[in-house]
Amino acid sequence: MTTAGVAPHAGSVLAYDIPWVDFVIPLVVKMLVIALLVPLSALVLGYLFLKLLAHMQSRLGPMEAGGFHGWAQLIADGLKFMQKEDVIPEAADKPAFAMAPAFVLVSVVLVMITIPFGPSLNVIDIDAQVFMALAVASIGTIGVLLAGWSSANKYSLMGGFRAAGQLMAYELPLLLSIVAVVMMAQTMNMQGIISAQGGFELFGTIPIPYVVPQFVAFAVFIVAAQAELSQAPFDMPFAESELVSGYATEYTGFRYLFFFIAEFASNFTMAAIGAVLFLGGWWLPWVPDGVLEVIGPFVLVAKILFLVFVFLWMRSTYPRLREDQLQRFAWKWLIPISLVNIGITGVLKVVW
Amino acid sequence: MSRLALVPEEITTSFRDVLGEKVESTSTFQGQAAVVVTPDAWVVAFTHARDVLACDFFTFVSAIDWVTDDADEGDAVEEPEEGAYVAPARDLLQMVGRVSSTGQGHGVTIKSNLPKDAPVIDTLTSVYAGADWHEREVMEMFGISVSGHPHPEKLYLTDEFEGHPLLKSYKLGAREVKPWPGDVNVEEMPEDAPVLDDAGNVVELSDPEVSEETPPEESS
Amino acid sequence: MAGITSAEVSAQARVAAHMADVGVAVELETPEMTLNIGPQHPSTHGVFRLVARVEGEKIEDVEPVIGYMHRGYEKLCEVRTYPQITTLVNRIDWLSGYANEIPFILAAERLMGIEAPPRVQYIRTILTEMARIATFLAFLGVYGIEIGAITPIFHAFRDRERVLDLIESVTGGRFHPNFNRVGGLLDDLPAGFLAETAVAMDAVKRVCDDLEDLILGNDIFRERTVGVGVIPLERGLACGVSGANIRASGCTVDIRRDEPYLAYPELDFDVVTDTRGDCFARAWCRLQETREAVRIIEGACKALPAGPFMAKVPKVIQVPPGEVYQRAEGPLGEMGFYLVSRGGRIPYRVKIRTPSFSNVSILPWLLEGTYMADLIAIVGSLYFILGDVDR
Repeated sequence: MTTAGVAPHAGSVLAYDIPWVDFVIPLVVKMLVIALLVPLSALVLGYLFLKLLAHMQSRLGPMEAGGFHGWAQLIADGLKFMQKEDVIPEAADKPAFAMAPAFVLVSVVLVMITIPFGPSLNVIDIDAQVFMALAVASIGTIGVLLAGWSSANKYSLMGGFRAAGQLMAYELPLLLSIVAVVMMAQTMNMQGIISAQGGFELFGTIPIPYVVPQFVAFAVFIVAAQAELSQAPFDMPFAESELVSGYATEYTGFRYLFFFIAEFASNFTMAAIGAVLFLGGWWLPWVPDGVLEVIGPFVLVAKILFLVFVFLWMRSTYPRLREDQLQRFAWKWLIPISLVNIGITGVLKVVW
Repeated sequence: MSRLALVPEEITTSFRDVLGEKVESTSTFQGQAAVVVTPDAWVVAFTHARDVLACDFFTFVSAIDWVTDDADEGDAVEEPEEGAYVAPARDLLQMVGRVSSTGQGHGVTIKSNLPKDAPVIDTLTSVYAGADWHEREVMEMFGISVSGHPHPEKLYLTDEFEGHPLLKSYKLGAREVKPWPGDVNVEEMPEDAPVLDDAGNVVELSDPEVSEETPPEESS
Repeated sequence: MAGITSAEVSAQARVAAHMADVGVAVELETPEMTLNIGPQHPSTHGVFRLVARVEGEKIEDVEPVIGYMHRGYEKLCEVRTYPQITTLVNRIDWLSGYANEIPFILAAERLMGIEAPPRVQYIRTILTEMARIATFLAFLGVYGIEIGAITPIFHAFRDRERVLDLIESVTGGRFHPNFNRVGGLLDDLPAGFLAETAVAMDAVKRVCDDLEDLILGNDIFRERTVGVGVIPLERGLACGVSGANIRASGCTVDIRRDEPYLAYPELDFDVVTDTRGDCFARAWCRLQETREAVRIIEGACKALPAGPFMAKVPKVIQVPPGEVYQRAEGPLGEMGFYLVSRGGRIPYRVKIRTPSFSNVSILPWLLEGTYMADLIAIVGSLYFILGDVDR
């Protein structure tokens, strides 16, 4: 898509023609949009989370801030966090402690740039796009481990270790479930996967997204994503009743806000990856591309919100697994299931 | 009371049969068997209760600080009737423990009288594991030393705390500083006004001879 | 090299390799650390501290530190009249204040030789069971939180609120009713109480079904609790563990049935027991006991006799000399008062036998060698109230 127009003029190194229109301005605009999108998605999802959870728990949730059903609650919360004192524990490893939330947030931002929002609405369009999304998503693990280690708090430490073990264990089934999709689409480019889904037709007439043929991979993806997001039933890294607040125990003020934003924004990005890979992203059947250019982002967001609803539904329903049960579940169930799924996909791919 | 429950008399007799001289006195007041044994028979008595009387449920172990003040002794001069309650007539620390049987439903209170100076009792932790914390409480609250206790540390109070709060000689600070406000509520009652109970409800007096002569025993 | 066979050489190599392995293992050994759980920790139900020596997630041993809530009630009881003591007693187990009053009032009545009128017995039974429902619903909700399910607590507390409202409509207090008097009650039931009770009991029955689905029926919950923290019957009894905690281990004792008091002998209910003795069994027993409590309340409301709500008692409560141990089946277990009176308006000594104190004392034994996540499951399943531990 974006062509890097940095070809130098012949003969002079200095005489670069800075490609304002082709490269720099679109890049800045895209970066600004992404930079806005991350906190915005966190705000929306955070509010939805509060409301959904409340209604599932037969409460009302926030009702006051902003007037209409407490829509401004999270803005108020965010402002509150920013006003709070930024406390760094005496014994903490200060640079690491200060850096950790940034790692987590940056990882979310990087994942966000891989998501295509419309037929021609994407920040990057590279071949290994899915691969990149997963790779940058795991940067967050470093931040979590850093936060747990540098806090000089035993609860944080245990939370950090739990998180590291869990995120690594569930990276694998997540990846393997996606491999099946990649095999079907025969590309790792997200736009390619989306258009492959548009071309995948059941009985020759009804175009269906991959969630139907790859329902096993989809189930594994949802479970593994839930674990990657550290949400119940896989919320041991936080484990409020055991570890107080896990690796985020010692964080206050805007650093805690970073974790908070990252938590919901990563919910958004994870659901976006799921929506792109399994639900067809911005694509809708029988809708012409010209229309999709306009409504594509909204279609994608609708699909994302549906997946987020599933995540939050699980989160509000299930109790928490124990650490060993969590690992056993990943290694003994999810990974074999997704491996078998890959095998079957491969066989069917050859047969058809 | 269910099933095979032993009647209190059977229980006290059983203790007398086994411990003989070491049973100082027994009582079946209010249908509850109580046995006072000598301190050296304390553990034996509980073992007997557990093994022979099938008292498998450990209820509690505590102590009572008996202080005989003169006013009370005046009342208790007359000979007690059979089966009536008799409080100890001298100053002593009394260990009280209760165990009961989950299978048969009976229970027994075992007591032991200790001298006020240097009270020592053997630990029950080998008989009932649950006695551990109860004995720690007795140690700090009454100053009774429990010999053989696995962790003879303070349970409730801080390590620096001095004194044994549940002894009668340990005055409650609040009562020393300020007179008892509760006193007013019960004392000031006009003779001929409708009789109220503490909550202000009108009740009739069934027993007019019960008077308010007894002084409040604040510090006793 | 003569005389050393190749077999010996390979054996030596094996030993050397093994030693190298062992050496690595020793170097990688994690040092144990001391983890202070509490006194302020989300799962300690108040101010309770567990000093745990842990190796990774495994717990080597645990020492509970109690006494943060010690209020010296036994001493305070020695300077108060009997009617004033009910105020204190209310606050021992603050979730079921009403149920605490019962054994104390019964002990005083027993020594005085007073029998409360039948209506009083029934109302006391109803309110005690309501306190039990309130406590157990709190347990079912909070235990969900401890296992990690955040939703059940709201459903449980929503309907617990109805029960508390009922208690409030009778006594004027949600937690600390202070409603009992020696020989009777402060007041009769308010108008419309029975109808409202019927509605609330239906709601409680519904929420019990919901909670059974939501928590006890959940596979993850079962994974977390079945076979975890098993209390063997003998050990439990020797430690004085009582209530649902010990009935889940196969003990069939329920004081309401075995040593009848109040109106229990005239009412129909089952004693819930289990034999597994694990965290799941304890939670299950509490859920079933909530349902039994509803049955008791409904039965008592139906059979509620008319009559006075106060026996004829002297205007000044004076208890004749005597000693008595009066116990009652509180929501948390056997709650008993060893009441010593030397006559007069003030008890000479009140030993308060609280269920939580004994229940918690089994913790060091129970927690040895468990995992960190199990610790919370076990501590939560014993269900103690710190006020009840420390008095």
